Amino acid sequence: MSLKTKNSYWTRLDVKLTIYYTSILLVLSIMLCSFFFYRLSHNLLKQIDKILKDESYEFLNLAQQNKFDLLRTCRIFDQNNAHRKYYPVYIRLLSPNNTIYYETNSAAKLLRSPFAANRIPVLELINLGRSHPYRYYQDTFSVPNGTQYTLQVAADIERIKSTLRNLLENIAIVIPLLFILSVGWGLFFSQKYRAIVSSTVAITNRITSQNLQERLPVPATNDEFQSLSITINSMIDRLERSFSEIKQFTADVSHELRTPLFALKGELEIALSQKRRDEEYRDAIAESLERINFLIKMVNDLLLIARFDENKMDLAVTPLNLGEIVRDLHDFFLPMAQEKKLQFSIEQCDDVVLPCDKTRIHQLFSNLIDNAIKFTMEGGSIALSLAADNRAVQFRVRDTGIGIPAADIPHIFNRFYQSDKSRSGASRGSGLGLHICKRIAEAYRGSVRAESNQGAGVTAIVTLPLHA
Amino acid sequence: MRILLVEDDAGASRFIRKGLHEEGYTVDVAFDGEEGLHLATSQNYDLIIMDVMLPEMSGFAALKSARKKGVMTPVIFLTARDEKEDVVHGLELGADDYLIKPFSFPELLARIKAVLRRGQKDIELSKLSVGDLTLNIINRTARRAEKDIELSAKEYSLLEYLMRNARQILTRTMILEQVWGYDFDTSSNIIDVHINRLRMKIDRDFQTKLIHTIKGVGYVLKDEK
Repeated sequence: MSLKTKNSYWTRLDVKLTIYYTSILLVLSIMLCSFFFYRLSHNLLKQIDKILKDESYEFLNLAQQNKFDLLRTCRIFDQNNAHRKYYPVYIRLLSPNNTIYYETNSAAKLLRSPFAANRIPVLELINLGRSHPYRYYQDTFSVPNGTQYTLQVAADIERIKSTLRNLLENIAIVIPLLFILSVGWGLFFSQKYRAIVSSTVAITNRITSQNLQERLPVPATNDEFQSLSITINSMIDRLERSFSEIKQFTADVSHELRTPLFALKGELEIALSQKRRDEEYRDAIAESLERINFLIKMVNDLLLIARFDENKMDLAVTPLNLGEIVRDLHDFFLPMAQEKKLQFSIEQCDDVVLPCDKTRIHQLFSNLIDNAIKFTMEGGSIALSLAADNRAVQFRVRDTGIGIPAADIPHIFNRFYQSDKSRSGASRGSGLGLHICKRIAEAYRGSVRAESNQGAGVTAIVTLPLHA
Repeated sequence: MRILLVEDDAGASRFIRKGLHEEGYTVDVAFDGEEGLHLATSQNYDLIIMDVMLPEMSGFAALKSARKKGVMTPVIFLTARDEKEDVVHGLELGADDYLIKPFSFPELLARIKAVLRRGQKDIELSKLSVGDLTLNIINRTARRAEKDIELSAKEYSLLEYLMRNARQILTRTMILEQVWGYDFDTSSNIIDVHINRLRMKIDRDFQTKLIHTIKGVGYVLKDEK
């Protein structure tokens, strides 16, 4: 019966959860690092570009101050910049025919052909590529005599590159570290939940109809796992209850059947034990037949209850005048009441039309009346009433009978419940009649209950809603 | 009158056969659906009594093919399942009546008589009489030995039912169903009380008793000891 799935390592709950969350973490951190890396390199270059532009303006200012003695300007500029520790700046000045007019000493080997000022007049930033991490700015200007010169200002960006490289190296260390930590932590924490699930599975597998007393441990996690365990436990509670009801029911049925069967067997055995007159045989057979009829009625009642249990009850609905039914039943039972010298009356009888099954309503009402007559001593009284308001109809049978002990009242509508266990013989029913009443009333979304009267006896009350 | 009984349970078929035989019917017994169908189509019967749950071929299937072959003999089904759809299905196939197991033998007998009567023209009697008891159906009055008997409406209905079925045993369930229209079985002795009241009126003052108790079974109205 038990369903044991051998989980491979990769389909285990904790492993799967760890894989999911770790991959999410990895993807997110790689995205975050890339973003920061890109922003940083972009900003650093922007800064360089700004420096280059500034230097270019600086050069023009200097040229103006030196009345456009360009050679002098270049030298002063280079001198000024010679002590620049970060981002040393180089310049190159091209005459109108694109020949080099001046260039910073060290620039010669660095600023090579791509520099050819063929893209005049633009403000341009050119990255010189990986092998030569330089950045340069080019602009044109005119001297007062009208000659156009091209100024190129370049800066070494090796420092930026190394900063970025450094960042990359750090990222390359941090991400694997994150991965390892995430896997470790993930497995550690989800292990706990996996343990809860595994024990739930193991214990649930152990629970069978024979072993319903076992319960799941409720983890103090205050989360869905806790409520899952509580839910499963309460489901087992219900199962256990209904199983024990079934066991009790089977035991009750066997007991209730055995008693009349035993009497039947005895009756027939005694009849056959010696030679008798015809009359005696006839009596024995008739007596046995009565017992058999009782047994048949009980089996029929049990079948009826089983059909209620299966919800297979066919509650054919035809509009019935309940008032008429009560009056008919009063007529029907009147001779029996008179025989016991009971005062049997109808106190109130409204004409209420309710769609329901005639047989079942007869059964419901007559069982209650029959009981009242059975348990009321000579000289007592029984009163019926049928009263309706606009929501429900109430049928009451009030008797002045022997009553029911208060402790028994909540149980009298249970199956096989006999208030007085010692009651026997003719007045002993199958113990199913009142239960059937309850089932019928419930089938019409109504209820049936009993109340002890002030003086003596009991009132049985059936309530049926008028609008289902 | 010749009756075919198709019933696989040996116990049930034995008592039905015995009971019907004692009532003067000739009974042939088949134990499964195929045998039943074979007999039904090859012999002439006045009535077929057939169980629903049968080996080889269900009662419904047997009835269906018998009807197809033109056998119009009336059929009463015996069914253990009192589910409405089954009953409806059986009646749709052309069954004339059904009885739910366990039934009492007098009930079966009454159904048989009713089904057999169906074909005949019903002579509407204006008077019923058993011995010196006479019932005037038009005035709804009863007389015994030239003496009027006061009856309540229900007492009259009860007496009429007993007289219409004179010499037939009527069970409490049958009386409850036919006279009051209540079809649930009650363990109480309410029917006995009603019968006793009727006895007070029609039998008490007379030497010859007409209503007889058949212990454990029910009652019969007849003019003999």
